[in-house]
Amino acid sequence: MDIIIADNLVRQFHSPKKPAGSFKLLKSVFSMQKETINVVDHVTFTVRKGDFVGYIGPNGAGKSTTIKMLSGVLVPTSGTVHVKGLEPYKNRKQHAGNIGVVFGQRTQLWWDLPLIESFKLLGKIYNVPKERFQHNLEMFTEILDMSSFLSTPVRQLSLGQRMRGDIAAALLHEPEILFLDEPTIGLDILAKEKIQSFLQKINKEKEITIILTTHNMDDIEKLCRRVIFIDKGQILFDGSTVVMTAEFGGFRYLVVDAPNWDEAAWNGPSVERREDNQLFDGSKTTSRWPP
Amino acid sequence: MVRLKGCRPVSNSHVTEVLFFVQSPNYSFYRNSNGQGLALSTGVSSQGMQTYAMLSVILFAIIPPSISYEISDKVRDGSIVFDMQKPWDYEWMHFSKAVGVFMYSMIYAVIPQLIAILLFFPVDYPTGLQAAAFAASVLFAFLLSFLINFIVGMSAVLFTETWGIEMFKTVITDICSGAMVPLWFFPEAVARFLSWLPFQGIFNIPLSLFIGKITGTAIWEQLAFQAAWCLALLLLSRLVLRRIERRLVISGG
Repeated sequence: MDIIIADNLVRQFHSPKKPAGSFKLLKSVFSMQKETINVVDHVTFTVRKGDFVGYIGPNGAGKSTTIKMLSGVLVPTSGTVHVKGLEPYKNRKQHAGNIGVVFGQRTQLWWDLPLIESFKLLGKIYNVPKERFQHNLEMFTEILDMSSFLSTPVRQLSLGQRMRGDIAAALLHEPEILFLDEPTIGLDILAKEKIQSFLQKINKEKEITIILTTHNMDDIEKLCRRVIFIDKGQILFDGSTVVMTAEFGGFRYLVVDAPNWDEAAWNGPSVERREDNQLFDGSKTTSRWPP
Repeated sequence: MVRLKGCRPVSNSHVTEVLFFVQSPNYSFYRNSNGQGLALSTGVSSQGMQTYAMLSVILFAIIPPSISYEISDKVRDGSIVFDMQKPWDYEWMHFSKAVGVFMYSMIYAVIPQLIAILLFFPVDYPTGLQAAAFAASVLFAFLLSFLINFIVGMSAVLFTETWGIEMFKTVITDICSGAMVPLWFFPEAVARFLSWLPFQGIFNIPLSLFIGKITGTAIWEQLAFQAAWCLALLLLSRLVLRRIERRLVISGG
C-alpha cells in the first residue's frame, strides 16, 4: 500500500532580482523583477507502508523543502502530495496526527522547560490519552536512555541528548509516518549509533514508515533499504540501497601519504592518481587534509 | 495642536494640559476651579474624566501583547515550521495564548488595581445592566485588539522586518482608540470618522460604558458595533492567514 504519493511536485522560491548599474539601490526599491527558482522540480515518488527511505543529496538540493511539503508546512507551487490519502496542507490538523517530524537543526522542545514538561505539553497538544502517553513516555525513556536528563531544561542538554528528546517528542502521539531531517547532524558516533538502532527498532517493530534525509552515508547504509537521490530539485536515482552502492560506490579509495614511497615495490591495487610531492615540497610545510 | 472644540479657556485653567495626556498614571487633567467647565463642554464630569483615565491605564493590561516580533523571529530562524505542523489552527493557537495572558493580567494586574482604585479614589462604578455591558464590552475589546494584532502579526511572515509596521499599529491604536485622548476631544468631523473605525471599540466604548456616557439603547448599538467589527476582522484574519500560509518561505536546514 502506498502511504505517500508525490506526483510532479514543484515548489518555487522567488528572490528579487538585483538591479545593476547606477542608482541600483533606488532601482531595487521599485523593481518588481523576480528570479524564480524551482527548488523542487517535478519530483514524483511513492513510498509504501513500513518503508525506510533515505532521501539524500547535496546542500540546497531540495530535500528539506520536500519534507516540509510532505509535512504540510509549505504549500506546493504545483503538483500534488498525498500522505495517507490526505493532502497535507489542506488537512493539516488531521494530517499532523499521522506524522512525526524531526528537524535536526531545530528543536520543537521548549528551550527553557525541563524535557518532561515539553513532552507533557506535546501530549496535550496532540491529545494523547493519558495511559498511552504514560506508556509511550516510559518506553522511550528506557530505549533512548533519557531518564538521567528528563528533568533538565532543554537548553542545558547536550546535542545528543536533545536529539533523542526531539525524536521521542515526534513519536509520542504514535504517528505512522516519521520524517527525519538530518537527525544525526553533529552527533558523535555513540549518540549516532543509539539513534540509529532506535530508528531501526521502531521501523521493524511498529512498522513506522520513515523518510530520512542525511549527509551521513553511514545512516543510509545501516538503515535505509531504499534511497532517493536528489540534486537541483530533480530525482537522479530512486532504488534500493544495494543497487546504489553497486552503481556509485563500487570503489573505495585509499589515500596514502608517505615520504619516500617506492612505487616500484608496490604490489597492491593499481594507483589511480599521483600527487607527487604535494605534502613535502618544501614551500608548503603544513600538511593538508583531505588532500 | 488639536483645537478642542467647545472648550473655552476659562480663568485659572490650563487647556493645554489635555494635550499632554500620556500613557502613565500621571495623567494631567484639565480642571477648573469649580469643576464645571468640562462637564458643560463635553457632557463628562471631571470625575468621569478621572475614572476614564485611570481605567484606560488598567485596560492597557488586558490588551494582548504584540505577536509580530515572535512571528518574525520564528520566520527568520525557521522554527515556525513547528508551529505550522502541529495539529492546531494557527490563529486559534495564538488566540489561546492571548487568552492565557489575558487571564494572567486579569488576576495580577487588573483586579488588584481595581481594588486599589475602589479603596482610595471615589469612583462611580456602574451597576446592573451597565456593569454587565461594560464586562461584555471589555471582552469584545480584547477580541478586537487580538484580531488587529494577529492581522498585523501575520505581515511579519511576509516582511520579516516588522518594527515599522508594529510601531504604526501601536500609534494608530493608541490615538484612534481613545486610549490617549478621549474621542470627544477630537474635532467633530474627526471624532465622527474615528467612531466608525474598529479602534474605538478597544478603549472608547468600554470606558464610556463604565463612566455612563453611553446609556439606554445606545448600549446595544455600541456592543453590536464591537461585535460587527469582531466578525469582520475575524473573516479578514482568516483570509490573511490563508493567503500568507501559501506564501510562507522557510529556507535552510
